[in-house]
Amino acid sequence: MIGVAVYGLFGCLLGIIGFLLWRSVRLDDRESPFRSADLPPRDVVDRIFAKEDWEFARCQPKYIYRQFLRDRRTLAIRWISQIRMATGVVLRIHARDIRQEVGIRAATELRLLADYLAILFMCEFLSLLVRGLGVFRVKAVVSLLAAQTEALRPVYQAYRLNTRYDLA
Amino acid sequence: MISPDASPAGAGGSDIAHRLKDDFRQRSLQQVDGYLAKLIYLASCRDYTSGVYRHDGLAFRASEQLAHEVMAASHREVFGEALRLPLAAWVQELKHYLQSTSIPTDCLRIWQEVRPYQVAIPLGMPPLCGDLFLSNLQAALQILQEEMLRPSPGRPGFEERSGQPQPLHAPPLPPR
Repeated sequence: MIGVAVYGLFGCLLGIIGFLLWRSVRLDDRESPFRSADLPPRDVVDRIFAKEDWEFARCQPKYIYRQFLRDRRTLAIRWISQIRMATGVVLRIHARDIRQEVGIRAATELRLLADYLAILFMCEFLSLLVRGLGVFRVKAVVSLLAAQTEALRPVYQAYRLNTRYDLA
Repeated sequence: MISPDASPAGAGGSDIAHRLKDDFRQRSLQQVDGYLAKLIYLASCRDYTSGVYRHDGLAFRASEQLAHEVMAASHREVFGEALRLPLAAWVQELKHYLQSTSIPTDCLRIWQEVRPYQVAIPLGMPPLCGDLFLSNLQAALQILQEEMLRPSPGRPGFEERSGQPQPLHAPPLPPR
């Protein structure tokens, strides 16, 4: 019985990883991933999720408030998909680079894959939260994902300028 | 031939470019009141087809290429600062800008219909920055129109009124 549960859990985990990879690859296969994956500065992200704007919009007539909520949700979902794309671009170019290298450090590569999957998982999680709870109740997860994205930014910029970046 | 993609950092005379930019911001842009007016002014100096900025004063002091780079960098800077404004400040910015025109109510209607403010976005910005700008302005336009239709003591409308405008709903953000 325990064996079946372990196999089931392992299968689920593989399924989730497969789904995340499939989604990121599918999004990366657009014509120009660089332009659409350009990440906005952190303060712009903070503005999208700012409670101050929500409180102001709440005092407006209902149709304006509803439009405001729709717009902010669209912006939030776009930001999340841009992170997904930027992460996909970084990993794909890194994979291309290490194919030409002789000594691959397995531990480093595994850590990178784990980081990559963690970002993708967070993107999916935040996407669900934004759809379920709205844009203005997810500050903690947004801060976490934004911090991860800041670490990703120099790597992405280096690849965009076609220069190498040592991820190790 | 002026390249619209060139940046001051990449230019040989980057010191001159930075000095010119500071000077341009302090002397010329300072005279333009409000972020929205500054953005509209900067966008109006940009050629619609080539994306090249033209400024005779700067071109006379340096070169056309450098003038373009200084204007482009200033445009990006002002846009970046404006994006940090909260929605309430956008409403004030828009109100201030519309009141500076001689026909604020007509201008409001035209802005909702034609959306000319889209040109205020500088080239090469991350797409989400442009989307946030458009979303804020559309919300501000709706709020101002509501104020005009139903002015209250706490929410004064425009001083000048030229007929009752029809309510218009801002279109949703375009799909990507």
